[in-house]
Amino acid sequence: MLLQTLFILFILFLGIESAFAQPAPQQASSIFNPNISVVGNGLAFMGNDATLPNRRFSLNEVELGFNAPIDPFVRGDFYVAFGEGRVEVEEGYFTWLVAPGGGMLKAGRFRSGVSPFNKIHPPETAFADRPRVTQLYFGDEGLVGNGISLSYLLPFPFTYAEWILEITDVWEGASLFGETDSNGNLVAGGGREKTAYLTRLASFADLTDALSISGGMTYAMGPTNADWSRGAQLTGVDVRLKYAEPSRTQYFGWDWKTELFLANKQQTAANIQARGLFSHLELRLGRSWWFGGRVDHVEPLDGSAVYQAGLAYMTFATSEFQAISLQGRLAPGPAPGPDTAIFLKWTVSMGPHPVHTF
Amino acid sequence: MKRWILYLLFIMSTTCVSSAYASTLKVITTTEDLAGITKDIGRDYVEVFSLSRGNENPHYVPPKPSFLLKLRDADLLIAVGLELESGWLPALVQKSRNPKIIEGSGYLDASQGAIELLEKREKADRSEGDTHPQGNPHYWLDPKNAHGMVRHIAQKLSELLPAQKDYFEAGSKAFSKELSEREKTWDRIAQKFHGAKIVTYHKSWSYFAKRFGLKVVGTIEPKPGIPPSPAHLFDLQNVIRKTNARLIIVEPYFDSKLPTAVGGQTGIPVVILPTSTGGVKGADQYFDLIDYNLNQIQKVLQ
Repeated sequence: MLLQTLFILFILFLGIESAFAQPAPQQASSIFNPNISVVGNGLAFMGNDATLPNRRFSLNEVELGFNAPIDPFVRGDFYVAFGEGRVEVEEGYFTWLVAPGGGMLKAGRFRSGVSPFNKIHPPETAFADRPRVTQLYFGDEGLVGNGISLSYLLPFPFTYAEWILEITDVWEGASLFGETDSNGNLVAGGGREKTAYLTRLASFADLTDALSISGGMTYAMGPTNADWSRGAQLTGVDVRLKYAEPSRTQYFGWDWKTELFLANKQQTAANIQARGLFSHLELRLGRSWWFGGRVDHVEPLDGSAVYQAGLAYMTFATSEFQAISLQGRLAPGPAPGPDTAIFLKWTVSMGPHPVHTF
Repeated sequence: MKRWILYLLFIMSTTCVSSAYASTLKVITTTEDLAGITKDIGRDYVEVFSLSRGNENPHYVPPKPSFLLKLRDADLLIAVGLELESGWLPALVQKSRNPKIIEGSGYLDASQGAIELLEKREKADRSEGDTHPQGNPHYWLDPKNAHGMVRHIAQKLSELLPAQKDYFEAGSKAFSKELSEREKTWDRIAQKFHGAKIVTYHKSWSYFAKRFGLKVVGTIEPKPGIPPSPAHLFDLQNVIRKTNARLIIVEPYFDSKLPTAVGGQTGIPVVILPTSTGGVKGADQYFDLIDYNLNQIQKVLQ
């Protein structure tokens, strides 16, 4: 009897032990965690260009991204950027994937769809710097605002056409919008609490299996002072030709993109009309090698001399998760000779597979 | 103005009527293999479009905006799964504005129908390259898995168009029957080179090799998605010599220069074999794909 009781207790003990020995439920621990990714780049600089930092090395920007569906209808995307002495929410938005009428609604803080380049996060661009026109008109980080964005695929059966409407706070750091002082610096709060509007029409067509063309037109408007008695308007046009033979996508292709912006800013002293563009050509010559060049031509908003520059680069990628790029920029400036800058950019990506964008 | 409003109402009503009473399913697949199989099952009741071409690397398909037009109108999206398309498909689906494929009922992961998955891992990190922890995604190259995929796709088509359930089941059975017949022939061909050691460019051939008795002793890529280094190719030549490997297989979307150089140094042939239907001329359907690959290997190894 005693042996039977001990045997039963032993079996019960085993059962209890094995119940405790079972792994914790996966659901709570990791399955529903958002995707977490880190993309960052470090820079080394040389040259006599006055726009270069005083130091030789910089951890330029590191972005921590969190992405996950919230429910079957909405997803969330958050990116926190760490720079030299700064931490900020680069983007944080919810996207209602199928809004009424077949649209897509985004709400939160997001990079504006003013142009394809503006949508790319700074560490992920091909360049060590940013095209001058985007810096001078939109600020160092590009157009980023808090608000809503509504987009629709237009019901054309054979042509891709997308219409976007953005209603946001006036974009922070964009010297085209908001009030500026006599030196061209943004005045704190100068119209930033007002609303800015942007609309864009973009289209795309396959010319052949390998060659495609895309383009877009954008119009944006916002205040240049606190009561919006004066304003600024921006018209943008962009075009892109891309060649990638399906069977050779990883070895050869070229991609030409140009973005042109026409700006009109009403100020107390005088209205400023300016225009600027950049044009970028990239060649892929092998599985790991890219070569590219960019030209900048910008009329600054403060009426100073036209800025022109050329940038060339050579990029080597060991995998999809790491690339090293050597870049040189030449800007014919006033005496004593051209402004030169040489960059070494090292970009790394950790986490899920990077999303290929078109 | 009134005329325009009436016109718009007419367009909207015809759109609603046509989708509510659709007699065929618009199916988008990520690869030509899935497209071909779906056409064979659904025949008159499906319109199928593949996002990638047969000679294109399915890991790296440029996500063109024009794909959004196809996805916007799709009743069903069929993907290979196991993260094969993780670099390009999710962003397209999110932007498609199509609740059918976003919210689930119109999405099918074909790998869930596969019978056996290889190279699954509990843990993985990027030091292993662009690896797929849920399993090697090239499972369709084993005909045994194709049986499962066909059943899985037929079930989904029946769920979306219940009136044609019998029709889809008949299509599925006919496909499987022919597949079983062909398997007998394929096994006879494979017997002729059973146990042969091979080198492949990428780990695309694990299923095919296991099914047909080939042994993969090395890959041109040191790890998935990582371009080969000279040191790795030197080591690979030693492996080929030591193991008496007899053949290097290269997918049509990889550069054959380095494999050809390795083959030249070691004296073994290089053959370009498609991993998907449409990858080369003569491999236009799933059965042709397996036929073509086995016949090419037989020809080279004889």
